[in-house]
This record gives sequence, C-alpha cells and structure tokens, in this order.
Amino acid sequence: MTQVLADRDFDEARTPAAVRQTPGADTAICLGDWTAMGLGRLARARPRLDPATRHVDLSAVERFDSTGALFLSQLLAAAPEAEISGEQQEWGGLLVLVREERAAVGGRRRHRREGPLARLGRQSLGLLYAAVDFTAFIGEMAVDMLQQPGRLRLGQVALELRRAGVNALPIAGLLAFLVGVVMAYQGGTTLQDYGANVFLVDLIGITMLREMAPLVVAIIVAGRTGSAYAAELGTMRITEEVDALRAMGVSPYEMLVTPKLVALVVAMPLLSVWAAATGVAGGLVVAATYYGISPVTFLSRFPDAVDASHFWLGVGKAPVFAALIAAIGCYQGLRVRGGASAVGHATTVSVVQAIFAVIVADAAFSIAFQAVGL
Amino acid sequence: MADGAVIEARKVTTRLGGQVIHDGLDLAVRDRELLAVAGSSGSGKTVLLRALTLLQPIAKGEIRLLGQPTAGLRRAEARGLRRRMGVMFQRGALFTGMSVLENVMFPLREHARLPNRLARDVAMLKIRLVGLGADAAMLRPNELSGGMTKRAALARALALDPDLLFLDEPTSGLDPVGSADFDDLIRRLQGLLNLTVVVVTHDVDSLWAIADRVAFLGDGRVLALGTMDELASSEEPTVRRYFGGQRMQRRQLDGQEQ
Repeated sequence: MTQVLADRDFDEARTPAAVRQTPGADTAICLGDWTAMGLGRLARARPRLDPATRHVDLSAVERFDSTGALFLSQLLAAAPEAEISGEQQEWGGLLVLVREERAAVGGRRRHRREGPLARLGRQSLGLLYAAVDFTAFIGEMAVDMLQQPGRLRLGQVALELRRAGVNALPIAGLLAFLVGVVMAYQGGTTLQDYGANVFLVDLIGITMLREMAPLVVAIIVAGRTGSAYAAELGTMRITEEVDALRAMGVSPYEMLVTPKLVALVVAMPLLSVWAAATGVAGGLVVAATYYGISPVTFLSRFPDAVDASHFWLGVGKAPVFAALIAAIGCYQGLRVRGGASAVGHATTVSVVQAIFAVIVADAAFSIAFQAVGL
Repeated sequence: MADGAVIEARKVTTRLGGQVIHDGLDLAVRDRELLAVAGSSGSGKTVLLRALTLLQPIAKGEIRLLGQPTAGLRRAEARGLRRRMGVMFQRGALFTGMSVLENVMFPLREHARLPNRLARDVAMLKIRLVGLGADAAMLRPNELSGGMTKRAALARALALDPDLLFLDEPTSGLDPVGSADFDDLIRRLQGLLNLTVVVVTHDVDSLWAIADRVAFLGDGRVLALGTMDELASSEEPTVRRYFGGQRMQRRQLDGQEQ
C-alpha cells in the first residue's frame, strides 16, 4: 500500500511516454507515462508501428490511463496482429474497454465545417429571422397592452421611473453640461474671428435643445437602462422565472416589459429637458467666462434666438428614442437562450442595436423635419 | 492515522458566515474505496466536499490529499494536485457557452499537451463511457435533460483520469431508474479507472448500492463510519432516526426475502 502512495505524490517531474522499435524487429517497447499528461510529445510526433509488429511490451510503462489506452489502440490499428504483454493487472480493464469502444464505434466521424458561402447564407437568414422576430415581439407587446389597458402596473412603473429617470439625473446632467462646454468652446473660437460672439447663444440653444440633449440622453439611457433591461430579463429567462410567470398565468409583457416601456417613455423627455437645461448652462458658463457674453445678455437673447419649435422637436423625439431603447433591451433579454454567456451577449447587442436605432431614427427625423420645413 | 488513506481530514473546523459547520472533524478515505458521505440536510456534507476539494478554506485542522498536506500549497503544486482530482457538482456546472464535447475537452486542453485530435478522441471516449451518444456530445448544456447533464458533468470530471473523484449529490433530481443506472455507472467506472470516490448523497438506495463505507455527519463531526450494514444497526440516535425511516425498512425486508 505504501508503494502505491509513493507513486501517487504530486511530483511534476514525469517521464514522457515513448515507443522504441528497432527497424525490422517484431517487438515494440513502450516506456514512460502513458497518461494524458505524459503523452503529449509522443502523440504529436505521430509514431507508427511496423505493420509486422507481433508484440507490444508494456512492462516498462510507469503509468497508464485511458488516454494511454486509447492512444495505444490507435497505434495498434496499424499492426492488427500485435499482442500486448507486460501490462499491470489493473490496466486490463482499460485495455478491454478501449478495444470495445473502438469496435462499437468503428470509423471516425468527421466534423463538417461550413464554407464562407454557407456562413453568409446562415447569417443573412439569421438577420431576416431576427427582423421578423422583433416585429412579432412588438406586435405581441402591443396586443398585450391594448387588450388590457387598465392592467398597467403603476407600482412597477414608478419603480422603473426612479431607476431609469431619477437615478440618471446626475450623470445625464453632467454629461450634457460638458457637451455644452465643449460646443461653446469650439463654436466660440470661430464666431470670435467674425466678431459674432453673440451668436453663440443661437448655436448653443438650437443644437442643444434640438439635437444634443435628446441624443446624449438616449446614449446614456441605452448604456445604463437598456442594457440593464436586457441583463435582467435574460437572467430571468435562464432561471426560468419568465416561464414561472407564464405558468402562473401572468403575462411577462404586462409584468416586465410594459412597465419598463411606459416608464422610459415618460422619463426620457423629462431627462431630455433636464439635459437641455444643463447643456445650455454649460454653454452659458463658457460664453460668460471666455467670450464676454454676460449671463444676462445670454438669457435675454435666448428667447429671440431660439424658437420654441426647437425645444418641442427635441423633446418630441425623446419618447420615440425611449420606445426604441426599451423595446430592444426587453426583446434581447427575452430571447436569451442558453447560459451566462448568452446574457452577456444579449446585453452587448442591446446597447449596440439601441444606439444604432436611435441614431438612424434621429437621421430620419432630420430628413422628415427638413421636408416639412420645420 | 489509518494506513493507505489517500484523503485525510484531521480535526477540521470550518466556518461559514460565522457559523461553525464542522468542529474537529476526522475522516480518512482509503485508497480505491467508494466512501459515501451521508447526513441530514444542513449537516455540512457539501461544505465537507468543498473543503476536501480545496474550494472552501478551513479554519483549523489539516487536510492531506494523496499523502501530502494541502496547507500553504504553491500555485504549481495546487495545480498539479487539482489535476488529479475530478469534481462533479450538484447541478453539473457545465460551461454554458460550450458543447458537451468542448466541456469534456476543456480540462484536457488546459492541462495536457495532447494533439487536438487525440484530445477529441479521449473526450469522446469519456462521453461514451458515461453512456452518452455522439449526438449528445454536440449539444449545449441547456439542451440536455437532467440525467444527461449529470452524465456530461461526470465525463468532464473524468477527463484527466483523476485518482480522486468527488461527486456532489450525483443522483439528486433523477428518477429511481435513472438513479440506479447512475449508481451502476459510478461503480463500473470506479473499477475500470481505479478511482477513489467520495460521494455526497442523501439517496439511501444509492448508499446501499454503491458505498463501500458510509460516513454519517452530524453535530459538526463524523457520527458514524462503517459499512451500510453497520450503520443501519448503529446505536447512535441521529443515525438510527435517519435510517429508521420507512424506505429503509422496506429495503431491509427486501433483503431478507432474497
């Protein structure tokens, strides 16, 4: 017994496996560790037994495991008449086992790799299916909402409003403020060359109210809230909580999706107003400090320079962005299948797709507004 | 301590969140035996398994694996030791992003420098050994049934032909037929691969079917240690209550009839 134990230390110094066979000789001698750990070098060298081999001597083998047995049986395929000798008693089972397994399975099944064309086709189809799938999701959500409009869960909505709206105020305000600062700097230098410092008010006001505030808010919300929706719903799918809701006759849309969507549609225009205000404040600070426009001048010029329509257009875009972000986040979350990595993937995809969708929608808005002359 | 012990716990004390789970626990597992760890829920069976597999730090005492103390192991030593232990977790803990085959190949790839083809063949051998087909090898963990998940997890634990195999509730969640099949599988593999096995289970049928010896945990220590027959006739009140249930009596009646 003690010998067995001495053999079982966790000594790293192992003897690599080897096969020795003098050319023409009918005996092959195996040495060393015929184990998963010891076989690496030998297996990479792809040794071949002489087809005329009649004896394989295992008496110099120090350790032997199922990897060794498998490799030995693969070697023996080249020398069908070879007989094994010198094996230790406890290895017998392994040898028999490996022979049986090989006999049962027969030839090796090759794993087919798909070509580039097949991959392109698969991905194109995948995109198409995803589009159909997303449309179906929107439809299901709409039907669910419209069939029972009274069953809006106000408690959930309030919770989501706080998480997506109130808690986002500091970060949205700070970022919009900084964007205002940057724009005032960049625009101010150019306008100063023409002595048109005062037009800084127009520049800041219009871009901030109409474009930057909703866009900055949308990007923050997509990264902060859309991803959280995807991760939350994705995890709930994996832990079968979504199925549990269904099994209890509670619609997951009503419980999970609709409150988020409603809350975000309410929260984003408000965040957008807040971001516009802090952005203008950022511009105001820079204008007053570096370009000689006092806060009083700035604010008194503001109503003349910036038409109210800019404000309404900007705020009006926010609910659309909100709906896109919430729908994409929830959709990606609910279609999670598999495990932990699928949740991570869904989260990433939701952010990328949401920001993409928001910018495409913004471009569409610009073209549409231009066409109707707003 | 006992000769031929490949796993030894000496005066082991473990704490979890301020609560003492084991208090001076002694246990020795003999070479190539199948030791089952039984005990009521919350008696620290799984914590003991985690301590023996070096996943749970112990507060006091010593754990020796394969004759070596495990306190203060260096990284390379710990890695070498872990290579010689296979652990099957209760819920499988298969990597969700990989197919069954990739799961089983994972330890081979991490530790052994085998050519890819051989590693694949070895993994397939293990997958067939646990009774899964070539089709199952290509499935993802979420596409497996409960029984298949257990088998795949066992195949992964066996990937490197470990000397020590630790199984946490291998038959939980399986139907009686599936449990019996799994017990047979464990027994067969133990003989085939010369394994020393530690099984945590509260499946009494399993205890009768596979255990060479049973360690019964309670009050933070091993209350009783012996063959199933010895335990079933134990005088220890907790052990008596545990094995005195209806299912046990039926089992013994069956035995007498045969």
